[in-house]
Amino acid sequence: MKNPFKTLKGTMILSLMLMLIIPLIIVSVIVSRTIVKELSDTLTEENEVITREISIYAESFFHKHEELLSTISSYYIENPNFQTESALESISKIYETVELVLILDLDGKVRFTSNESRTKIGFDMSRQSFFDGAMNTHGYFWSLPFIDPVTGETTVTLSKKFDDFIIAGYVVVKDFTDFLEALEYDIASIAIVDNSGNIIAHSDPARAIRRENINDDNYYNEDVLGSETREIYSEDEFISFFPISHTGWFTMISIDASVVREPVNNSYMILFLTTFVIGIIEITVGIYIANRINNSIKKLSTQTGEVARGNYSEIIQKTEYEEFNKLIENFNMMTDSIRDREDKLLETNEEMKRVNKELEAFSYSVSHDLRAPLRYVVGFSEALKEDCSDNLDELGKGYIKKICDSAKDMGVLINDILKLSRVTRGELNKKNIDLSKMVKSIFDYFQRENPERNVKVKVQNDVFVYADENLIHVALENLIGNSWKFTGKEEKGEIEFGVKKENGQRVFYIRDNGAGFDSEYAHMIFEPFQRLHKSTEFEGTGIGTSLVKRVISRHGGKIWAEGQIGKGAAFYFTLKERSEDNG
Amino acid sequence: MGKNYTSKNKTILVIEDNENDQFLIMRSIRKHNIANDIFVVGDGIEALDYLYYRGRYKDSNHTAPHLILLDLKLPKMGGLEVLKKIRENPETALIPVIILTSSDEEKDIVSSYKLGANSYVRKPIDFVEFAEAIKNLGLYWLILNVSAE
Repeated sequence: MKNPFKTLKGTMILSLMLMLIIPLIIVSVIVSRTIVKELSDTLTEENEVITREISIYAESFFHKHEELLSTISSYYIENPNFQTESALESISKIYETVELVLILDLDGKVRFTSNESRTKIGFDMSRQSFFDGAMNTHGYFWSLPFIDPVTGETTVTLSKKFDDFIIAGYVVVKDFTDFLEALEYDIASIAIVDNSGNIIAHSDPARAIRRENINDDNYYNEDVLGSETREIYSEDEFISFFPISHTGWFTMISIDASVVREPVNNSYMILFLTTFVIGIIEITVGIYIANRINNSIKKLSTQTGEVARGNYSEIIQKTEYEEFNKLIENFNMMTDSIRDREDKLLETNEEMKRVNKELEAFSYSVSHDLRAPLRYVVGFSEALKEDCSDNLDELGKGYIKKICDSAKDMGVLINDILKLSRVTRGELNKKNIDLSKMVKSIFDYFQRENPERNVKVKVQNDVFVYADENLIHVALENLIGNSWKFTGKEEKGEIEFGVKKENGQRVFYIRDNGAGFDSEYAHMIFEPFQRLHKSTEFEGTGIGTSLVKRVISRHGGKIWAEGQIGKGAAFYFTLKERSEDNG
Repeated sequence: MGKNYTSKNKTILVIEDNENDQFLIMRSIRKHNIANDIFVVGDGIEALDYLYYRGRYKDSNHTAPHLILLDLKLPKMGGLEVLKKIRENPETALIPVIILTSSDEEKDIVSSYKLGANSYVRKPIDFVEFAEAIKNLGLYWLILNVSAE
């Protein structure tokens, strides 16, 4: 998949999304944490309130009953014989929580009881835990809760040893349940458990009656009940234990987990939905905006593309965005200037073509018209020589010869100029040519014309080019002709034709091992009539190479020469290849 | 039809407008004993009059020429047109024509017209070339010196 940041559209949309999502995520996290913390704080507060209330209640419960027994004890001590029995009875009746009051001898035998039918005088209670406890405790001893077999209620005993007796009371803890019930608030249930895990009281009366031990549930595996506040989290409940001072009991507050979790989950849900919805909206809006901008850009692209293709009359229209418009303005100005320049160039071009044509026509017609008088100079000079030789002395004959020779030279020059001009005029008629064959046939011609010459010729085969056959023939004739001429003084002349590749381009060459030339003047070789040798050494007017250069130029190629005096020369040229030929 | 060929003298008709060329051509022909009778006209129309015995030559009793030397650049009617007319007319269609050219280009132009089997000779007449042309046309009699009758 393409890198979305490489497009404007992609960047915009992705940026929008990131700008949305990241803050939302951060906000979500913060909000949810805040919610959780608040909840937790609220719960903690509630718990504190509850535990405080319970503590106070428990303490007062304990205190109340201890006070009661203390009062009874004091009264008994002061009035040992005074209706102790009925006093106990009435106390038991008055105080609903007090089920039974006993005064025992130090050996455990019941001395007085508030309920004869339940516990007779003289009964041996030495095996009861309250007895043991009282004997071994300095102050009041509170027993662990138990189920009173007579009442069926959860009961605790408190007992204290005095100098010669023990007082004990059976107290029901049903009130706790009522109290807890009142304390209960909607999401929590409150219980009081002893340090063995027995539920002494529960805000849910049904559970209080069942007298469960919390250790029965599997998830209370640990030793929960130390002296510190502990918290357990399970799937269903959050449970906290708070010790109730002075009693060895614990307040247990259970909060239904789902009730706690619900708001958190809800808030997450809301945040998620909000993020999602806003996300969709933003993406939609983002895409819409991105598309609009993109369309403007696309339009611009298309229009500028038109201009690039050469349609300089195209004016780019303004868009709805300022930034583009400045660009467009500049672009249009640029196009205008290009158009102007192009027009000027075309004009200049036409002018040049016209001038060139005129010059060529002029040079052609001049050369052509020069021929006729030249013809007569030659003709009559010869006639003079032949018909009047009797009347001419040697001097005269000599003069005539010079006249004839000069006229003939002039003829050659004019012919050369016309040849050059012919090469420049006219349409190129390009087709596929076998250069190798052409070169070979030119070699053969030269060999036929000069059978006495011994020239070794090396021609690379199957060299094809796309060019004008006539012009190329003229060019090759000249190049090979030159090589032929300049190897004239060699015993074993060698001429080579081939093609090589330089920088991916084909370079054709004709080399010889002839007289060569001074490379310092190599650049002049292609000037018309420019020669680097005396005409007494090698004949020629110097038009040949400039002819070749014109032919090569007309084919869009380049030509250059390398040479060394006495070591031969090499001519290299390129042609515009067919694949480049677009026009 | 034309006049009878009783005369043993062979004639060459030279159609050339330039005086100098006329002179040099005639000199050359004479010098090499090519033919006895040379008739020179200076333009195409006169040439045709001569050939078809009309105009100035209506009552002439000259024989038809055995060879025509025709220059291409003629005033009034151009050389090619003259050639065409010569070839079209059955009276003269078979008379051999040698074109006098002043350049290779003119040679090309003529061949592109495909106006019959012609030979070319460059001005001024180069004898070797001329001889070659004669040979090609089978006109050997031109070289023989025919005595006047």
